[in-house]
Formats: sequence, C-alpha cells, structure tokens
Amino acid sequence: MTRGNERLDPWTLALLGLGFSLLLVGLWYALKAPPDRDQGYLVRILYVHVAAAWTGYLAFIVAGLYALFYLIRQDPRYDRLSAASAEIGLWLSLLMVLGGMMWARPTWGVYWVWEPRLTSVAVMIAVYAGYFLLRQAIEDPELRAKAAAAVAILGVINIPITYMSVYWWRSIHQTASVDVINRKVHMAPEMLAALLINLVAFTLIYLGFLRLKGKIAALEAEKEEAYGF
Amino acid sequence: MGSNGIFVDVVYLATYGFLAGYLGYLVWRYRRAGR
Repeated sequence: MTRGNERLDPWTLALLGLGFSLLLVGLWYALKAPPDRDQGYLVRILYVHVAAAWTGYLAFIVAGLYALFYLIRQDPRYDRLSAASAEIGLWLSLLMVLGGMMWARPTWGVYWVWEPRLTSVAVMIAVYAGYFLLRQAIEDPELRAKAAAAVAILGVINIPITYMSVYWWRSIHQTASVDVINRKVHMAPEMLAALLINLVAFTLIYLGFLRLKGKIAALEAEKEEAYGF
Repeated sequence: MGSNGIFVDVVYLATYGFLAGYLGYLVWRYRRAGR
C-alpha cells in the first residue's frame, strides 16, 4: 500500500502554491497601499478581514451546494466535500471575526458589540458549529449525511442576511467598501488592488484546502470500510 | 502607524499563522490517512 507516500495531486499543489505565493504579493500590496484618511494604517486589517469573510461565505455556499448534490445523488463523496467546505468556512469565519475584533477595538472602542452585522455573523457561526455537533451526534452515516445536508442547505440563508445586514439595519459596522449591490467601489485603486489580490489568494487557498480535505475524508472513509475503524 | 499597529500585527500574524498551521495539519492528516 503506497497511498501514504503518494504526493498531493498537481491541482491541489498548484492551487496551494499559487495561493500562498499570491498571499505574499497581497502583503506587499497591503504595505504599499496608502493610509486611510480617518483610520490611517489600521485600514490594512481590511485586506485580510474582508478576504476571510468573502471566502468564508463562499465556503458555506459550496457546502450548501454539495449538500444539495448529496440529497439528489446520494453519493457519500458529496457529503464529505460538504463537510470539508463547512469546516474551512467555519475557520475562515472565526479568522474574520478575530480580524474584525482587532479592528473594532481601536475604531469603536470595544472588541464586540451586539449590532446587526456582528449578531448575524455570530448566528452564522453558531449554525455551523451546530452542524458539526450534529455530525458528531449521529452514528448512522446515511442519517448523519441527510441531517447535515439539511443544516448546510438551510445555513446558506445566513449568507445574504449577514451580507445585507449593514444595509438593512444601518448601525456601527460600515457598509461594503466594494459594494456589489450598487456596483460602487469606495476605496483608492491601490487599496482595491491589495484587497483583490488577497481575495484571489484566499480563494485559491480555500480551493486547495477543500481538495486536500476531501481527499483526506475519502482515504479515511476507505480505511473505515476496510478495517472497521 | 502609532499605537494601533499592534492590532494590525495581531491580525496578520493570526492570518498567516492559521493558514500555514491549517495546511500543516491537513498534510499531517493526509499522510496519516494514507498509512
């Protein structure tokens, strides 16, 4: 059995290699970008905070799509990929929250406040934490996959609510600097470049992680089937 | 950057630390799963 010595597949290596390289380019652009008129260089948090937020949303949407595929096709591979994407999304969301807290303290004076955006993010994280508790609690693989798929699909409802919360209920959290709804960019071109490079880097890394995590889950399932552990 | 620089540093260190650490963890899991 040579599986353990197998190298990662070229696509995963390419995604991760390119993603991590771009992350360094993103750092260079973040350091070069001008300071914000009001916040000074504190604005540098935006380049990773927003990138983590967007890829977190993407990961949850992908988890929901794979969950839907699972319910349609009943193929365990889709369940594994759904769980893999949800896990990465959860970590990215926690990273986004940490970045947000570090940004909130010097600008708002507090690390956390129960305003609409932060509250909807907290609900979103609670839902996906619950998703993994549910997976742990159900032993039957088929029932587990079906219940998890339902949560992953319903969980996607959180994404537009979280995204739109800053528009629907105006509060302390700023609206989007790259407003995809009204197609407006509220930042200097150098800042936008730093954000977009980081966003592409995070997306490639997410895709690399997803492939790797999916492969691990497949190997573990194969082992479980063969040896019963 | 003034006294607020520490907040930026924490975010970047946490981000890179997490991404590198998670990659390391996944590679370790991959090798273990393949054994």
